[in-house]
Amino acid sequence: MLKREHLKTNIIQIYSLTVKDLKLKTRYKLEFLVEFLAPLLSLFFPYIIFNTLFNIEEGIFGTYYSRENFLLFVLLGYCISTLIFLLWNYKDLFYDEKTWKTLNAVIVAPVNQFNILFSYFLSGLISKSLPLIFIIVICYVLFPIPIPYLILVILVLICISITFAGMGFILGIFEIVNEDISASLAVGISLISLVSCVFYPIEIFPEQLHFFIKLNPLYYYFDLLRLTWWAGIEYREAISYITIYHILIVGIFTIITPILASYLFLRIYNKYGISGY
Amino acid sequence: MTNKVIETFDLTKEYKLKTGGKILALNKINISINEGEIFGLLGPNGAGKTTLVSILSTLLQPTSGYVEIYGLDIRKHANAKKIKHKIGLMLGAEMVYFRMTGIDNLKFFSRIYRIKNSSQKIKDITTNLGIYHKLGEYVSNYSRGQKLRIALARVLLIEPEILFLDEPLLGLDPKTTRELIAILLALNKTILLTSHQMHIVEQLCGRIAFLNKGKVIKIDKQENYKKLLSEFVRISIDILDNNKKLELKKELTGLNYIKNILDKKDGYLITIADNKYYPDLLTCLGKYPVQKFQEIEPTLDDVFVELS
Repeated sequence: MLKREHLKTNIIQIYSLTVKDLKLKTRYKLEFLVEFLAPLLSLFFPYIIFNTLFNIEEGIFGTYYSRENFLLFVLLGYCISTLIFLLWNYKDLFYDEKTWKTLNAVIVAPVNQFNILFSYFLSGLISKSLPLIFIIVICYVLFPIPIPYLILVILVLICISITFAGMGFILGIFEIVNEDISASLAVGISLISLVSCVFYPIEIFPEQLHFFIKLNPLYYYFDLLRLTWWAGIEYREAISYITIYHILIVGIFTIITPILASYLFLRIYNKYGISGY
Repeated sequence: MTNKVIETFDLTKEYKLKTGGKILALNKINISINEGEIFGLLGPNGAGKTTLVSILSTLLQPTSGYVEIYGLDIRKHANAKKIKHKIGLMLGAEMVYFRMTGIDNLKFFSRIYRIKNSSQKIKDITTNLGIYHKLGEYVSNYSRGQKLRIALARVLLIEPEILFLDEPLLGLDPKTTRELIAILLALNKTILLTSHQMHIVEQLCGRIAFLNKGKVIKIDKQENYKKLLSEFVRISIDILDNNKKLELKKELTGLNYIKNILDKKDGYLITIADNKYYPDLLTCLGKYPVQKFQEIEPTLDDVFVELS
């Protein structure tokens, strides 16, 4: 009975916190619309670059990217770019709530801190769900795949979301306790994102960089996402690119990142509290 | 027998400075607050009042020492969790979402605290505070007084047993201040209040702790604070000729029995060590066009200036 009541409290708290975040996000409707549309513009540059390159020479990269599928990978790159919002969302929200002192009001309330983290994740996901669904539908119409493959693609997208959220927890906690560290981490994450092959294949980078790119777990997530979709169309080609590292790294990091990040969040918050305001 | 609700034991908080050193925001603070008491926390800026309130409300961990609320050491996570239902924190007009409407704010907080029958309670509290008609509007559009009222409504809605109020009535007009003082007095709850507004502390608080540079200088009843200054004599002097005003100040500064000189519109407020110095002072003032000479009661403001 007590457990049921406890569960009910957690659900109500997560719901209330999520609705609150969404209300704050939609305070200015045009701003919300711009956030929705702006990433779509980022599709044009990779599209133009790939189109030009493939007009010059087919198979220029020596990879699974081709004239037939590059549009799919550009669209999937948009999905990744949209999900990266989940990572930055924590930094922005914690900064706002810290300066408004509303974070004090929520933390001083009998709210489980995991509920705060989870509600930020949900509100971020909901606020970006429309453009995400829109692009996935376009991908499905242009590059149809069997339903089991679509489910696998959604599973990889969920893994990406969870990992981004975990990274966001760490960025968020430093936004609360020490903005210098948070800013440094943000630069680091931006650099890692640049060499994560969101839109482009690894082969576009100089060969000397390949080793470092392959040390970056995010590379495997994004590569696996593309290859999973492509496996639904050209199974043999796609599967020849999927390695055991793809599966292991995505599986392990999806589990470890949020657990480690939540632990760090609680430890660091309890030790240092809110500082800067 | 009085019930101690809050007790601090050698509570210390240290902050690291960017320059490399450390600053003691709180230095071995020992205070206790009884059930139903309105306890005032006075002190100049940077005295450590907000740090103390933050630790008492579980927002911040002390560097050393500890706090017991209802006998529970709140350094422990489980104890802090237990008392969170019982405390309400108000930091001025903040801690509400300005980008949400008043009603959305109150509904949100009533949900996370799981307040039963919240709609009726919201209506009652906001009607009492005179902001019921504003609830549908964004808080950012409220006046300063209305923002303070919605912040207070948030705290009252959760029905806390202990209230921590940091500068709760700052920037309000006298009528609103009076109304809110009446509301706070009628609450009959344990309240820790920090304020720079002496008249508010005088009207609300029974006991007052005076903090300076992280240390408790004095904890006493407010009437005893005034007794502190009873050995001094406070005199208001009005002078007719403005040109002579500066000259008079120069002369008064040179008298060793004058403890303090404060400027006012038509003259000065001075403090002398004893009324035995009256004849000498009157001789001095005789050379100037003094319009009014009046002995006045010391206020908490005087105590504040004296202690800080």
